[in-house]
Amino acid sequence: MLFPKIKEGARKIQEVILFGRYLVLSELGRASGSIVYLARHQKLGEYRVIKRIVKDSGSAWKVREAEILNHLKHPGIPDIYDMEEDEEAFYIIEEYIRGESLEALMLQSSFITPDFIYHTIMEVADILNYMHHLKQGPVIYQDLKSEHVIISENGINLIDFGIASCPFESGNKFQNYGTPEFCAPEKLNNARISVQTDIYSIGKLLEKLVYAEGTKESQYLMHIAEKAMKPDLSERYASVKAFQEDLEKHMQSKGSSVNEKHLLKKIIIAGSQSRIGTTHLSIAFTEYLNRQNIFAVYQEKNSSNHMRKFIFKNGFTKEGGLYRRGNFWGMPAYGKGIEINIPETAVEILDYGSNLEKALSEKADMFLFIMGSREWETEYSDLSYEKLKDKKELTVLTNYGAGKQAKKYAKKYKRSVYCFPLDENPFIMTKEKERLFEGLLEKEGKTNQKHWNCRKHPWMRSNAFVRSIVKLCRKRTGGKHSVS
Amino acid sequence: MSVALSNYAASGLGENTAYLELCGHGEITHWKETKGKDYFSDCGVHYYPDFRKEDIPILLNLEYERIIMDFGDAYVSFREEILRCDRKVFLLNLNPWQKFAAEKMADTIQNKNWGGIQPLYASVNAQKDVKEEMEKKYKIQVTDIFSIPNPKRIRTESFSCMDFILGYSNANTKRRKSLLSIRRKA
Repeated sequence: MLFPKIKEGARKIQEVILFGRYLVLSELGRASGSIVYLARHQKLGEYRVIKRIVKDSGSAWKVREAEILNHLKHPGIPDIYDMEEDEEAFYIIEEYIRGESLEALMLQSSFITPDFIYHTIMEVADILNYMHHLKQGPVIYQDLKSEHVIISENGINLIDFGIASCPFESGNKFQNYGTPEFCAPEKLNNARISVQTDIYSIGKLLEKLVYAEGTKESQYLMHIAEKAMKPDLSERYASVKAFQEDLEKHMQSKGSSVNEKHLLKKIIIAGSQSRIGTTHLSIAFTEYLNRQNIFAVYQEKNSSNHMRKFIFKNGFTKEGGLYRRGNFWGMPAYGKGIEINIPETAVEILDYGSNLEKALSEKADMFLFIMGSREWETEYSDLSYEKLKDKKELTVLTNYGAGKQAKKYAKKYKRSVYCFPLDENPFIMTKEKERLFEGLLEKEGKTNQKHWNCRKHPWMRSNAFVRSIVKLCRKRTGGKHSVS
Repeated sequence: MSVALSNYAASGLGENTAYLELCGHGEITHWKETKGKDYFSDCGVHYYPDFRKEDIPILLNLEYERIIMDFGDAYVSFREEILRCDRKVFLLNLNPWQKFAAEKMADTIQNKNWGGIQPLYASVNAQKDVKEEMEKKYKIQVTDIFSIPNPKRIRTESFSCMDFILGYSNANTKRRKSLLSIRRKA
């Protein structure tokens, strides 16, 4: 069976049925000499990944992936179902892992905490440890990177074993393959690869996650990453087990709760005075998170009762004590006489209004403090900021799109001050708000840039002419470059 | 049930709520001390123990959004007050040994003196046949309600029931129109 050439575009990919049973749905990715497709088994209705490897001089080696996968039986490694061949190519039919890659997760949000890093790295290490201790001899994965780590419902999975190899059998034929960023020095120097090659990559992955997390909290993990990335093999961890033990020891010594699996769970929003826009910001943030498929619930924690009145008058549907409209989920201020269970997976957004004392008494992963931008409001802002300035999780914002005032506050307080744009309807998401929330979820420690306005990218601050040039450049270079 | 409704009104609906004990049993008198006031507070509800009938108009002029009056089995002597209430709920105990009291209540309320009111009759865990017999006999509808395990901690499962009893029932929420046309029997 000849597979259609996708580039020609004449035939639709959806029409292709491989081997009489796999309906090809889409292309998932490409690598040198191979294309990966998503397909559905027509009778079983199950999704499969089909890797098409074009026949050439080296293709026989690439098909080794199927043999290796056939030996690997681990919940974090995709199962291999079948292998087919036609005149042009080999086809490896594998299990489809439904989930999000770690790379995508890091790009989309900053819901990365030290606990999340710990669990992710430990699970990846478990898989590598399994591969390194097979009866037949170790299998070196060689291609560990964030794109190949998939976070699915069942945990962490590794995909793409295209360059995995068994050094004990016949040497390494994939010496020059892999992503340079994650490649161990011995791989680049044509030295012999070993299990320590994978340890280098996991160290690199840990380093990347620590940078993505961005706070000082996870900095202690850097020591482990550095040891895993030592160019000298004698200084590097000898086994994944040793790496895991060290990681566990560090985690315990820091007293982090390893049982709390990720992420941002509670966000407090408070304002310097009443009618400053905390409810508006809270609703908009809840709306944004739910649009990003992060289940968030707004909770009214102030005595204004605005949300309650709004909910009861504006056609919200009631579901288990929560009120819903579109993407928004909210909960009015229930009293002590009500027992309500918010789903564990939900991010709680607590709107404390101007009640700073109460807000301060609550623990949260993020504390958003919104200040007035009018001249007569700055006094209140200063007084309130004094009370909060030592709070570690504090992020400061101004209201009404007052970028200039935000800049003034940023200078005065010597910290990043974001600006909530002038906004009519918190239930409608605008690009400005999206940029702001993306920025808020990025950790401040990552760059020294002061977020005095709500624009995310430095190049966007420039004038319209520069922006158009940048757009043009991006078009020509396929969106890879930006002017900074 | 009255305590549960009061708690729901105060904590769930955010209303200034008062609970009046008018049945004369003095059950809540021993619950908490009033400390020189007419009432004590619990979970945002003002409880008025052993409240006197003649003081009800005073309370009606205070800033309460919801007043729950618990008449207990003394409902006969509070006819005028019951007739003035916005929402009239009669709980029927349909256990075989209490059925006579339920029948007596239905008889009384259907008397001309009661102005032909159509209150909400409700019953907890009633047997189906007993309930149907009662409905047939008095031409009333008895609503099944679930028992509230802890009237001081209302769970979300009970919200719709509480809303219904308080007459709050989704009046302000959007309802999806049924795709099927409703046919009424002639």
